[in-house]
Amino acid sequence: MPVLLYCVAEASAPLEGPRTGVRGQPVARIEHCGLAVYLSRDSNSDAWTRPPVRDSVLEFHQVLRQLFASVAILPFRFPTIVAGDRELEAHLESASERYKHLLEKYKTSVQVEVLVSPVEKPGAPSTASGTEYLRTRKSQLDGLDQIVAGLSSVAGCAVIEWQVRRLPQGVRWFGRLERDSVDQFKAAMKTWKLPAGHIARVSGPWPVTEFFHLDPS
Amino acid sequence: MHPQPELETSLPQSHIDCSPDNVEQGLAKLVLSLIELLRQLLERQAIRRMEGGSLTDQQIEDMGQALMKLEAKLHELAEHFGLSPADLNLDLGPIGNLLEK
Repeated sequence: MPVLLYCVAEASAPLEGPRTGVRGQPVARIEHCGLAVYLSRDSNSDAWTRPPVRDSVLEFHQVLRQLFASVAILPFRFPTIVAGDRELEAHLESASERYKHLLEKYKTSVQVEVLVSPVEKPGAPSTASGTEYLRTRKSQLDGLDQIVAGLSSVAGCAVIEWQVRRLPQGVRWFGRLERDSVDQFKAAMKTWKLPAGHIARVSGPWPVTEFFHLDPS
Repeated sequence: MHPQPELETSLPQSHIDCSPDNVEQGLAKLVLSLIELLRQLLERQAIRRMEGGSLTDQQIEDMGQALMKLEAKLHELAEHFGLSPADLNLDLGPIGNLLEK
């Protein structure tokens, strides 16, 4: 029977997790290779991705949020669906060492995110000059670099490490911090002066997914 | 609160939708995403060269014009196929997305 995967956690994770998940399906917890996996089963896997998909995504993340409130988790993308328990077990047998390493390493860490973008919405260019177009882009990039530097400086006391992803229209800044440093980070954010002409959205704490791929293991 | 970033995983990921009803949009998404990637790379290179002083004023103007028109055309085509700028991306599974998002 198809299985929708929510996340992996240490085997010590709560036996009583969220009761319902995507499309009201029960959330089950299994243990294999010393890991706990939270999942739902349904003979019709299309049900999980049937429109409106947004509702399914929100239900999926609700399950993750509930679990992440108390333990470190490695969330799967939505929708990660495997054919059945046997396929899941085979996956865990090959990946369990890495998962255990990540869970141990980031056990007390959380991730926060700041999305910074110019107020001007992306769209068709408005200038008639090619030179002006390139200079405007350059100016936007320089402005964002300065904002990132300021943000990293303000948040630096609370974060363990940070990284930036540049977007066509803005940047996403990710910070990794200890669970008990979240209030300190929020207080630091209140002192941050965002330059005019930009908007910022701060979110978190989340699982530290942006830092997993940087891990040399 | 909004959905958090997703974990990379070696398990199967989403795919381009090429069902009979959506084949046009699925292919348009694929092609336009690749063009958007190239446009972004070209734009970064153009800015680097402009800053490096290796281009004449006319060359800067020509490159800027070309990139500007390419961006406008991409938006126009995306809109035609019912795609938003955020849709111009491809999920490459374990290695992430084609473009940063």
